[in-house]
Amino acid sequence: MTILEAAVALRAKKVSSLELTTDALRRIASANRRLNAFITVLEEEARARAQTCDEEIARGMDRGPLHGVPIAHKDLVLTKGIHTTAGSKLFSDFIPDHDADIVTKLNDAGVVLLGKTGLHELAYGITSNNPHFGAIHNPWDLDRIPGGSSGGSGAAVAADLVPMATGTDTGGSIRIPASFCGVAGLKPTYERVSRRGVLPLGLTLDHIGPLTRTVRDAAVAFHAMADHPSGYVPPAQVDIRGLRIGLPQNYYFDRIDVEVHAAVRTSVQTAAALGATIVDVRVPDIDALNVVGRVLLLSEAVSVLRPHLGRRADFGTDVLALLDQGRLIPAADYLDAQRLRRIFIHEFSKLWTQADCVFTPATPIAAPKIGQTTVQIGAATDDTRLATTRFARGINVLGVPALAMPCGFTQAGLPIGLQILAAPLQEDRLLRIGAAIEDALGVISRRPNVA
Amino acid sequence: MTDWKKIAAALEPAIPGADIEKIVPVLEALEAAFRPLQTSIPPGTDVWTGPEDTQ
Repeated sequence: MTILEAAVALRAKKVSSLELTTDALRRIASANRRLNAFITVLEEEARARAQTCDEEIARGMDRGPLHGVPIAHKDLVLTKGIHTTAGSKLFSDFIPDHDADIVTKLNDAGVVLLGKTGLHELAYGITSNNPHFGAIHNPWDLDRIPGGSSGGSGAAVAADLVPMATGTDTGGSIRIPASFCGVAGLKPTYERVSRRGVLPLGLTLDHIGPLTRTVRDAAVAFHAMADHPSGYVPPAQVDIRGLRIGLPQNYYFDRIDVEVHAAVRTSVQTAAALGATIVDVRVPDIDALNVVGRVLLLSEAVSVLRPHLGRRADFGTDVLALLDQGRLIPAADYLDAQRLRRIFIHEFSKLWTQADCVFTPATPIAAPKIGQTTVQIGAATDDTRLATTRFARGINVLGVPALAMPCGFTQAGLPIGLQILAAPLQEDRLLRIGAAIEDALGVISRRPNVA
Repeated sequence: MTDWKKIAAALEPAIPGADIEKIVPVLEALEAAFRPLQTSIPPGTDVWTGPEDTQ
C-alpha cells in the first residue's frame, strides 16, 4: 500500500494504523531474513505508536497523509533512545539522546517508525555490501546489490515492507538505490531538508530525502521533511504540456547499457506524447565535475571521520581505502575543487534558460551482482563504483534537485532508473513531471516477489 | 606528479605500506584528471561557500 492509499484507507476507517503496522511487521519478519534491509526493528514501540495514532484519528485529529503510516529511517539518522549505527563498528553501541530534525518533523506528521534500515558502511559507498552487518539484497534478484548507500531503504520500499524510508545522498546514495530497486528517490536541493542530526559524510555534499513506491508519495514525504514546503502533490491528472524537457546530446548516453538507453529514450518519447517539448541540450563536462566531486568528498569524509582514523581494524577495506586517499589530498586541492564548483554551478545554470528539466539515465546499468567489482558496458570494463556514480555524483556538487524513478525493466527483470534534474528549488516541477511519466509508463505496478 | 608514498610516510596514524600501494594508482589517476582543471581556474575565482552563493 502506498502512503496515499494508506491515508485514504485510514480516513475511511477501512484499516487502522495498528493493522497497517502489524501487517508491515509481519512482512518484515518474513522478508528481512532474505533482504537484510533492516538493522533494527522496533516492534513494541511501533505498535504503541500506532495505537496512539489510531486514538488521535478517532478523536478527529488529522496530522496529514502520513498520520498513522509506517515508515523507516536510514540508520544514520539520529533517533532518540534507538541504536543508530551508521552501518559501522564505530557506532555499534551508539544510542542518541536526541532526534534528527527530520525525525521530529516526520513524527509531527504522525508517522509510525518501524525501524532503522541498513546501509553501506558509514554511507561511504554504493553497494550496501556491509562488512559488519552483512550484504543487503536487491528484492528483484537476491544475488544483486540494492545500490547504496541507502540500500536498506531502497530494498525495504521495493519489497513493500514500508511505503517510505528516509535516505541520504552524498554522491548518489538516494538515486542509485532508487534506480536499482525500482522505486522513487528524491534528492532535494542542497539544504532544502535539514541535515541536523544526520551523521555526516560529505560536509558540503550531503542531502536528505525520501525513497517511496510512487512519485506522489515522494512529494508527500518530501514536504513533511522539508523546510518551507509548498505542500504540492501532483493531482490525479497531471498536465505537462508545454514544459521543455532537455535531452543531453553529450555524455549521458555515451557509455550506457543498451537496455537502459532504450528505456530512458522511451520516457522522453512518452513526455513528448504528453505534450512536453523536447529540447536538445549540451551539458558541461560531467567527467570533470565528477572529479571535482571526488576531491571534495575524499577530503570532507576524512574531516568527519578523523577522530576514528586510529581504529583501522574497525573499517571495511573499501571505506578505509577511500579515507586513506582523502588523508593525502592537500588543502589547496580541496579549495581549488570548491572554486571549480562555483564555475560548474554557473555553467550548469545556463541549462535552465533552455529547458525546464533534463532527462538522463539514473545509472548507466541495472543492478550488478553482489561482490562484482567491475561492470561491462559495451566493450569497456569499468570499476563498479565509478561507473555506478557517473550520472549521480556531480549533481551533488551542483546541489540541484534530482528525482530518480523507474522507467522500465531489463530482459532479466531488473528495474531501470530515469533521473530528472531541475533548477534549484524546483522540486515541485520534478514531482509534476515525474508523476506524469509514472502514470503514462505504468511500470510501478510490477513488483518483486520476495515472499 | 606528487610523490604520494612520501606524503603517506609522514602521516600519523600511519598507513601501512601494503595499503599505500593499493591507493597510489587511484590517486595518480585522480591527480591526472584534476591538475588540468586546476590550471583552468580563472584568477579571482572565489571558493564556493554555500547555496546562497550561486542560487
